[in-house]
Amino acid sequence: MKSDNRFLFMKTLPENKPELIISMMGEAAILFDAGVELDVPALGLQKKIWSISKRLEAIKGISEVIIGMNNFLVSFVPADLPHAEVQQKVSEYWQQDELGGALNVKSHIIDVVYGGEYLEDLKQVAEYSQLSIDRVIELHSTSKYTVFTLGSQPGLPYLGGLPSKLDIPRRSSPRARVESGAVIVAGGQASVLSRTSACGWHVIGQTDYDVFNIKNDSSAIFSPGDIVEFRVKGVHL
Amino acid sequence: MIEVITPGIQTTVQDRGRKKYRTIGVGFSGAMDAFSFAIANYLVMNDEDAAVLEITYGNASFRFQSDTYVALTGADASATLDSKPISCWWCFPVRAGQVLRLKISTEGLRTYLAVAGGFDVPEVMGSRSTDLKTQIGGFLGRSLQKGDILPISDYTGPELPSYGLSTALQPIHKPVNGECVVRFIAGAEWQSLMSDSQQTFLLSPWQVSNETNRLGARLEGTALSLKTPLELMSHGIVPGCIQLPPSGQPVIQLQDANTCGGYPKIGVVIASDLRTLGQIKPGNMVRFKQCSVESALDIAQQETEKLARIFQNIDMMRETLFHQN
Repeated sequence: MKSDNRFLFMKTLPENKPELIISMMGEAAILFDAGVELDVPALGLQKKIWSISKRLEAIKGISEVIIGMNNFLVSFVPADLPHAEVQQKVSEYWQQDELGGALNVKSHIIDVVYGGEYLEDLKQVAEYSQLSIDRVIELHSTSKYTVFTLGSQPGLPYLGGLPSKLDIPRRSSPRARVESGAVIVAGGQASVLSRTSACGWHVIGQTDYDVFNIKNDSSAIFSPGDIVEFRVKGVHL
Repeated sequence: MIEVITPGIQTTVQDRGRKKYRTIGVGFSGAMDAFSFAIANYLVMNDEDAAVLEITYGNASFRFQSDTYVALTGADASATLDSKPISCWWCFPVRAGQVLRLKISTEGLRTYLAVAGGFDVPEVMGSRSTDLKTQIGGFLGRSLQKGDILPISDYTGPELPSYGLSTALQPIHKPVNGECVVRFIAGAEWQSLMSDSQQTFLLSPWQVSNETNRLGARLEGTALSLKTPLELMSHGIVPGCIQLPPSGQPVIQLQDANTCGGYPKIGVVIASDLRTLGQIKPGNMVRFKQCSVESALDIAQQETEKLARIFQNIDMMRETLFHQN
């Protein structure tokens, strides 16, 4: 996957593995990527990122840290904190091994009707992974997933822990409209759509589980670190 | 109160946006042309975060149910108040019962309508901006419809004259001859583009497609290619991010963008040029110009100074007109 010259702003942190790949995201944000060489996101790295982002958010001049899958985007106010200082802070923290306090972890069980409207996707995943549909459903519904981060849509959980056999690239062209509650996989990740929207992932089932409810105290149902399991409620082939 | 007679193709309530919930996947929203938005509020002596209406392509009309002051900025839509022409970039008093009409905007796409005191819709997650995807904020989390009655806050400030920006001061951020230049800072995968694709990106004009809205601008031109296909893990993105889907046709994420994405990133449009993207129309052409972080910060500083000068001028004009009365 990695090609020469891929990273314009590549900086190495020699003392430290894995490397953070650093790139500008406009004049007021920097993307730090630790997972560039990985096929599926690693939980150990993600824990380190959770801990670092908490410390970064406390710094004056840093306005936001968006955690991705084994990467994080730091937004800052250039007048308060120049980008070179942001980079310096991050590499300083990255080299310290300390992990933050334990997260307040919740468990969630999501009932899924597999197949249905987008059965072609389930078939495609089976074909790509050279498994039977039953085996795909079994693998997906017997794994334990960790919420790595939330994003893209309100409350949408990015889940790590998808069996590597189910690692399939995103669709070459996104569907213009997929209903909320779609249970989706792509790029070694799993998730549930929180809003009806365009979607480039493969839809393998559907759930009623409401992942974002504005009427709740905390609108997002999931938090980073939470454990998620999918349970077979039905199969429509 | 203001009654919506004709909403146009898309009119939403917007302020400076929802800044604190991106970490749970709720995006910024907010005015697409922040510069015009700021001037509209300043003309009617509002807080800088007061909610206004963002009207897309004009063709909208409103009936006022109370006396107030109104300012129009952004795209000129040949507005009339009870059939009397009203200038864009102008503040004017309005009486209960009067009807404000906007024609289709000829140049620029989005007109901002501010009322003294601001639109009094509830704050949701720290903002009054409409988030169409999440269906929160603004007026019932949606675009305005015929018959909607919008509450406006009581205005307790001084009487305002009918006044506005001189032509020389009106910010020009609309495409010239249907074409505009947008500056960008190279992103993580710029170097992953084939070198002839880099050249094409920089040298060719890109047509803004019909599938362009508050979420993003899709561009059409010669398809770009990566040296090798990339399947990235999801990461945070910002408005202005220029992504390259497998089709090879770039997409620029805008105010209503998702908070995370996974497509390769050619670069990010500098903050000062986002307002230009807020005013381009489908069919217009965009040319990209590469820019360093340092120049982007200089340009942002110049923009801040330019806005300060406009505010100063508005203050001076208001003072002068007060003393004449």
